[in-house]
Amino acid sequence: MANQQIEVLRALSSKEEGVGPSVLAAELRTGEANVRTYLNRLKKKGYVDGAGSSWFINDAGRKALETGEAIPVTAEDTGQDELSRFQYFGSLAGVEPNLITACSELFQNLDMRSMDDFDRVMAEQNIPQTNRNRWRSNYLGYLRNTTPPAERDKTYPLPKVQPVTAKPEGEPGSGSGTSGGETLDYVVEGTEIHRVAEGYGDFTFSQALKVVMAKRGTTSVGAGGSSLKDLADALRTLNPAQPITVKDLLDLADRLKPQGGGGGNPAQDGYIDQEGNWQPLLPGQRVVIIKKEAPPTSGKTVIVKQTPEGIVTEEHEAGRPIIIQTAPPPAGGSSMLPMTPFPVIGSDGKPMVDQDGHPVYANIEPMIRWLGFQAEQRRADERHQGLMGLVQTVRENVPDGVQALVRAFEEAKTKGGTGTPKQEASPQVYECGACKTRFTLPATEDWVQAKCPKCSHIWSREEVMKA
Amino acid sequence: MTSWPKHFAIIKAAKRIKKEIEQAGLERLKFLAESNISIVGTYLNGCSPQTKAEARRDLTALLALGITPDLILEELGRQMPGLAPLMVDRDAYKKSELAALDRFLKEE
Repeated sequence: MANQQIEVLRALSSKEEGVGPSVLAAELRTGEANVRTYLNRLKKKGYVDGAGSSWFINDAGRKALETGEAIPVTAEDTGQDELSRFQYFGSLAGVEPNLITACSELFQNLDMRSMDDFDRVMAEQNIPQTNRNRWRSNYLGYLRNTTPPAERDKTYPLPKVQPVTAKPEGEPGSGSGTSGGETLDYVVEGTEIHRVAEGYGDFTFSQALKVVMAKRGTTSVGAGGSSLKDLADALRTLNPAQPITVKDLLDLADRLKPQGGGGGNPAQDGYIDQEGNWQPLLPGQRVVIIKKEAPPTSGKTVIVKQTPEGIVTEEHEAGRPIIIQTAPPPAGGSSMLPMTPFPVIGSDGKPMVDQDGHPVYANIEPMIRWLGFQAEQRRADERHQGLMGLVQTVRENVPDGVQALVRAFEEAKTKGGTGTPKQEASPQVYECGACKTRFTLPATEDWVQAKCPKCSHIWSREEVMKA
Repeated sequence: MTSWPKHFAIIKAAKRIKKEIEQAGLERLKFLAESNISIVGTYLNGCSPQTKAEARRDLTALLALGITPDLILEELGRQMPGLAPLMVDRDAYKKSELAALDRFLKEE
């Protein structure tokens, strides 16, 4: 089913242009009709596009191949026989493919229209109960639909689902292996209780509850200090038709937890006397609670103030209000203390006075703030420049292919080259034995003679090479 | 015969290499080729690890498409006629360039 479709998808992925089913069929060594069927199914699933003789894989198909994503099996992909439907329902129930194969191997040798054989296979392969229930109900539905209506209910009866109601305390049980009239309707998966069809479970509800609490490591209901009445009350708060979650169990455990005392003993009422000892409270004994005003604490209250002059400590009289002065912060959010007025000094070095003869004071706080602001800006600029220099250094030291080429060029140039250019830059010079004129050899490698440019003396190759 | 998508991929790859190595200057490249210094090897070895990884990934993808380094080198020669006689037409140098590319692809 899905495997053949994956093969078709893989074959399509290697094609650069659209191909027809005949090409794929020849490549996969299968029938063209089969390939066409697989292509149509893959198109419905959104993995390929195309039609007729031009099919190609799309992005979703490529992604599925790359990630190894399983192609979903649809009802269309499966056959209509019992074994195919059995396998399909198994995959729908979330059973692992290996387990489905194992079950199929067993089931195809049995009566595939018998639910007893179905249950036997499920039990032998130890299929988890929840998957088993889904698988069973689907397969049962399939068998019912393929059975004449007259025999349907007789051969494949539907399981009866009865609403479970909370029974009053003390009602006698009626069924072997059960308690309180409950039947084995529940299964336990991990720490969750699930209700299955009547009689198809492994536990009654209370048994399942005990199993889950034992798995969680909480106190067993019977071992704690709670009574059966507490358990019944707690169970009434739950809806048996719904699966029980861990949260429900925690709530239940809280309700059943013994109130106070240790070792499962019920808490005894009592009180703590003036000496701090616990005294038991006898039945009928009254408890009187007297509210007493706390006596005023003796001693002195000291207020510590932070002033511009320093820390000042003042003694405070009891009963008098404490006034806390919260002066507004100075403008600009500065934490500086208010500036003391600064006397203005004239050019003669004496303090300046106004027309009334009072000394003139200047408030230089704004100037100091401005200077501080400028210094802060300068520091920020210097920090920025330092960071930029660091960035530049890092950038220069980052390896770069182009820079490597330039460096290689510089090195080769410094060394004078290792190949042809060295020869071209400083060609071998020969001196004519006749006229002492210097000349170079012909550029071609297969030269036979060299002619002196001045005296036109012809030197043979052998003569030159001997020199 | 090379299919059109492949052909375009070759042109694009060669154009990218050309754009990179041209920054070093054609004269310098000529000098390196004449000095038998591998241009491709020098460039790739000088790249940062990140650029190396990108180049390796792209070249591997091209190889998967059936585009071999010699095809790219030939196209590079066509796009850089000044360099072609020194880089592509000389068999020994071309082989050394291909070997440099091969070594680069096999590096981890």
